[in-house]
Amino acid sequence: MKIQTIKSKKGTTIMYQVLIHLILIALIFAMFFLASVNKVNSRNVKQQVLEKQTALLIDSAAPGTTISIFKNNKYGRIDDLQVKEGKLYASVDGLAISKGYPYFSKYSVSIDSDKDKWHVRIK
Amino acid sequence: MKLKKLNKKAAIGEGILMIYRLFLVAIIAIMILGLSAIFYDYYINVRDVEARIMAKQAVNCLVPEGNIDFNRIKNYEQKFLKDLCGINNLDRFYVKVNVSEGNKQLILLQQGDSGMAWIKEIFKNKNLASKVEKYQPGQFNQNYPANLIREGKSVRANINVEVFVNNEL
Repeated sequence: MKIQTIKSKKGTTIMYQVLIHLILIALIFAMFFLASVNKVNSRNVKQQVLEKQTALLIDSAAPGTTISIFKNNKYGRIDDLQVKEGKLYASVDGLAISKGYPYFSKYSVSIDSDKDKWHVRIK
Repeated sequence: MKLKKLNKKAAIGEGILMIYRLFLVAIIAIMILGLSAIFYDYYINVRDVEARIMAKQAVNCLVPEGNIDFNRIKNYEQKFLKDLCGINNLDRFYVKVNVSEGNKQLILLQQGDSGMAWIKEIFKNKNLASKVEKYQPGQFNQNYPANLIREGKSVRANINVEVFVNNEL
């Protein structure tokens, strides 16, 4: 009877250990999978394209130009768009804001938004 | 008593083994992630376009309506883009404007780090260029005809604009 109880306890302990083990491995792989998905779904490439296209438009724009960009466009949802210290920063589909891309326009550049568009104003 | 001690030791051993296994799994996952990051990383190089835009800006500033005023530009041999044209953020650029009449050089304006031209030369080596392609400087070189106004006279001149754009990384 005693031996049976000891065996049953041991079995339960091993089962818990294996369970914890599996949960931890699953967590590691979930983190890895999420990080891979970020890379594979090309959000960062879309973000790069958006930043560079907008920076080039700013560089070549004459004063008085307003560049309007739909918040929901083919690059995904543009959550944030800002200019800071000569660089343009964009955030696409919830991706963290990037290192930004520099522009060299000699005019003053500002960004504002309405319900469904970002407006880049060159003054 | 002895059995308890043994059980404790076994539990510790099992714990260490578990940490070791998890560590191995994490290493494998990170390796796969690293590889996928390398394969899925894509860089878009727009430096040639930036060089073209900069050349256009420089020409529009120096040669408005096709006329270049020698007296206006002669004191700006260095820093002409910043002081004469008001263009900022020039850390990545080297711009050279050579105004000549026939084979005779009349004035040479330049701004930026001329070493970029040398870096561009290195990238002509195709074996090297493929390995560090994303750092390759952008380049644009173009000749424009213009009227040079000097001491009240207008002469036909040639303007060569060369722009190099360094990487932003």
